[in-house]
Amino acid sequence: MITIFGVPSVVLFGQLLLGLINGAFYAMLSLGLAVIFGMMNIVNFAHGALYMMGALGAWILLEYFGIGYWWALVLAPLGVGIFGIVIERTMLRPLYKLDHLYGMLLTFGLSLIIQGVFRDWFGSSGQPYAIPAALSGGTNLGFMFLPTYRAWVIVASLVVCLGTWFVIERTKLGSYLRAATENAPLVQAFGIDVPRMVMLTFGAGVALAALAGVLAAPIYQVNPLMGADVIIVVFAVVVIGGMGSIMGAIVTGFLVGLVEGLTRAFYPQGSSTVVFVMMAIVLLLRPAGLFGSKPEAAGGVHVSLDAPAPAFRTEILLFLGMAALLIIGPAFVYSGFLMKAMLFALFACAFNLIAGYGRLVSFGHAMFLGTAGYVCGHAAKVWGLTPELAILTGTLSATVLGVVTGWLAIRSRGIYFAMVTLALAQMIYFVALQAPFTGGEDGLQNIPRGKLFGLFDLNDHTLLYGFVLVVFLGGFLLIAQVVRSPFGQVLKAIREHEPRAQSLGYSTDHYKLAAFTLSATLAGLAGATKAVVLQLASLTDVHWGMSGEVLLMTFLGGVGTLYGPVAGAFIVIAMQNYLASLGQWVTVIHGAIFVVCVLAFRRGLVGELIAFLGRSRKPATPAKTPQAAPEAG
Amino acid sequence: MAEMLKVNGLKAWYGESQALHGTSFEVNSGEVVTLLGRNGAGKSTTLRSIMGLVAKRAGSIRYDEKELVGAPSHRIARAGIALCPEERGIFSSLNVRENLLLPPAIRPGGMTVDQIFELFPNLKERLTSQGTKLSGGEQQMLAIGRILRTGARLLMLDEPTEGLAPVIIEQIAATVKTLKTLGFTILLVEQNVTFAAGLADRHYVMELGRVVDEIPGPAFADRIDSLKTYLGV
Amino acid sequence: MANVLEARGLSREFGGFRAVSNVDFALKEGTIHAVIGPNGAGKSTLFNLLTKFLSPSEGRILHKGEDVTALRPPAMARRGVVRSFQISAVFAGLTVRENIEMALLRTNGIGWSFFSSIARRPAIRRRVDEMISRFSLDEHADTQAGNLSYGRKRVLELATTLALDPDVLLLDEPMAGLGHEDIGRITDLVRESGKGRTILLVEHNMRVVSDLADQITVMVRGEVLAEGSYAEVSSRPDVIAAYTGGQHHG
Repeated sequence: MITIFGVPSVVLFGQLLLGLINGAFYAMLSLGLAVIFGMMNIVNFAHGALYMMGALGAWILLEYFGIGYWWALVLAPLGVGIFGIVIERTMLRPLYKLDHLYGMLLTFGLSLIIQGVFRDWFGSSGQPYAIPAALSGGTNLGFMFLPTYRAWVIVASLVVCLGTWFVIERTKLGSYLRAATENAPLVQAFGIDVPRMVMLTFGAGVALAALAGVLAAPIYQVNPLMGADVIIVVFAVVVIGGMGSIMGAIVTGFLVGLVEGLTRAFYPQGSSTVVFVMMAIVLLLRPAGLFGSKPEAAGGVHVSLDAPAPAFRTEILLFLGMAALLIIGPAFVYSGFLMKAMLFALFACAFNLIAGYGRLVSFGHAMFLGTAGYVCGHAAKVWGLTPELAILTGTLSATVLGVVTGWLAIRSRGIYFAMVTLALAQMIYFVALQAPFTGGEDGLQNIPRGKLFGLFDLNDHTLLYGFVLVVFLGGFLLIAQVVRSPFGQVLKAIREHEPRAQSLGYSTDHYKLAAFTLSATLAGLAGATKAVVLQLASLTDVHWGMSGEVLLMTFLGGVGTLYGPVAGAFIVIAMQNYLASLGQWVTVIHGAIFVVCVLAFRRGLVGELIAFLGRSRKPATPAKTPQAAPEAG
Repeated sequence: MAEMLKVNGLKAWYGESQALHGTSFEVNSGEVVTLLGRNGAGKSTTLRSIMGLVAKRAGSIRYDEKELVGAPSHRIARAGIALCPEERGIFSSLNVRENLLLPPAIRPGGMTVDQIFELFPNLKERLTSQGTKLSGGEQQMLAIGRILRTGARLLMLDEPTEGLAPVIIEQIAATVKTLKTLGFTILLVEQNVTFAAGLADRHYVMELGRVVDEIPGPAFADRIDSLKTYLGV
Repeated sequence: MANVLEARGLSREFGGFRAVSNVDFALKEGTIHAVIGPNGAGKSTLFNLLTKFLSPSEGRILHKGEDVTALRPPAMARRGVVRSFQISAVFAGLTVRENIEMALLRTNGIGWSFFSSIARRPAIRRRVDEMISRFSLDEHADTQAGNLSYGRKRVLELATTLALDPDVLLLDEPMAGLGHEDIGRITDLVRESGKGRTILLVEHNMRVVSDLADQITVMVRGEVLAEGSYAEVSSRPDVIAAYTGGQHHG
């Protein structure tokens, strides 16, 4: 048998083929994302869910209507495309003028809804989809066996990708698209109905995802979550390739697939993380991506969501009120719930420090929560450290992780920052899945609570509650102080106008990194304490779903307000506790809350309340209009 | 002469700040009319408002008896108005040919591509170049050339001479004269007074978002001093 | 008089277009120096190059004789070269008072403080109060800057910049978008703040330029066309031609 660097050639070619297949899907998905982003400045987080809809659509067509593969190749993309058009008309259109992040948040909510609904229908186990008769069998190429269907997928995806490239780069319609990507108002002023073109582009981009889904159905197991993980890899592909180049998206997609295949052949443990490592290297060496022309699109209209901070005395009263409620809380509510809610509230407050006050919305904050939990659990269980030392160790691990990931991530802003943090967190997730000390799928169980400072036995529920209360209130006070401090003021100023802050002499990158690290540290404190309280550190806490939950808590409560994340965390945890019987519908509700928050009240509950109180106290004094606005140029 | 465009009490806002405070003027069919005024007077905003590129407008813009305030910009274009924007708006992801052919023909009677090449021979030699790789003068020619194809009858040119060399400015002046003889109606925004003086039938002077004066073409030389005050030169 | 800020052979290209082309330029200590020219002449690009918000394609920039071509914008500010922006740059979510404090946090070394409070720094408070009353912003001290009128935003921007007490002040079209009364007020403020400083301004409004500037540089198509006092420059036929579009050769 021939071996190449110790790997049998059959295995190597097999893995390369698999890499090429994966690459074909990455290419088709990132192509659709690139087209949609170019036209609408929206990072379509729901792209993975729509890909899943394509695959599941094909399965439903076959199972319930007896409609086979070839028709499914047409009907599923068509149906999903129409679904996409409805979404564009009803939800995305109002967002074009806002910060691009809102589009990402809304489509994140949509993907939760879609995945939740389908999981409720079909469960989460995979459904097999048979290879169509005409494409079954295979050919022996001598050096390897090539299944016909796999060859078909590669050819079909190449045709689709190059066809899309041709339409965009070489046709009249494509020139409209490219021109509208650059300057949509001017194209419309030439008499082209740009809103309709945008709508159809979104439909087409989404149909492309569904087509990829149908092609994938006979290869991968068809299940409602099949798009969730792939979309994160595709985001990494987009960051590697750089936005703004169609051919770049295609080439990078296949390239990443092949690199993954090679890694699987030579170093299988690294195959799921290699994409993210590639992304980190590209970010360091070429921040605009391999094919990117512009480092990032200009941000949308800046919407200041900040509510004026209440007076210092009001703040103290509010804080004392909250502390009092939490002290007497266990007399009325199950203390386990309160402890969990407090720790998530701390997590959300930490997230809010960077997302609300620094306007760097991380989509990967779970990595700090989860990592600190694992390290703390390991320290307590294996090294036998006392709880305070274990928590300190866990927290510091989050600090270190925060410095490293922050250093990489703050090179990008806005949606890029969101995608980069998401991808880095996914890398941590895969490490946690595979590393020997995390317990894999089972997690670290039975973490000993031990005696605090060797004195207070945390197995005593009252003591444990008191400990969590102190950690939460302490963390909260620290954040409140940082927000009020000169540092916090600089951070807010950078959020409002970064070039102006630079022109006053502030090295804004250093401030952002410090805030990010502080946020990571406090998220770590929440995670480490949680590991001790629940005696468990598991994959849930490093999963992207957890990053989504903290986003949800913060946006629901009110981003950029002190008490918003606390309120949001208590509501979300209460929903999970008391609505647990609804099963998948909890996810759907989460998604719906995202959608409603983005569309209707972007200030969140507390933010809207503050704005309402501010309005009712004194009538708004409208800003005087200037004599004339400066003309362009 | 038939009245083609009548702007009455036009107001426009960028966000909360008001840029036009009740602009009124009219343009007759076949005329060349200029809007003069210093930076920030609202000249470009007026053109952009007519084209529907400013989101918030009030007042009246009547073109061929049709009301345009409230219409989306692609409808306005299809009514027969074309804009050559101040920043020229050449698309860098399109080559010269694609840029030239981009605006769709909205009605018959537009110039053919060959006629456009007669006006601007330089363009013919650079058809496959990237649009923004052209010189400033060539980009301006491309920006004017592409709106001649569409059949639009009212052409709005926003500072076509900005940043260009004198010899190119002469060529553009000649082009505007040719376009007038071909029956186009032209609304021109200019800071270059000499350029405007030689071309226009009438001038409107704008200040702080309003039209404050009208100067007939022949009276231009007599009024040059008051004009200098308006322009702050 | 020594050159405070100097450009030597400075050029900047954007995708093949030379916005600033081989410009030699010197800003003399203690002067108010205006850069004028028609739209698209490269004034703003030059301005961004001098303040390091853009990197030059070619050429060098010197501050007090030292090469600062490689520095980043915050470092220029820390050397005492501070700019304003064409579209008024205030921190919209902060109050007027907090905006001005932003200038003083860093210079007082507490930008990195997580705990100390401005309330306990009487020196800062006094300076902020002084700036607020000097710029007649008293009524608005606790208004969020985003809610100010456009003219007041520009005043606030100037107040914040001057609170830094910079040696060199670079103002990018300080009068853009302002009405008559505001222009008069800001002209006075600029003149007053020019005492003991060097000011470079890019400005379209000729009346303001003739009122303020000791020295004028005229730019056309990315190059320096003329330099001198207002009287010298405004009588040159090539400058008039550049403005009014007539013929000139050379």
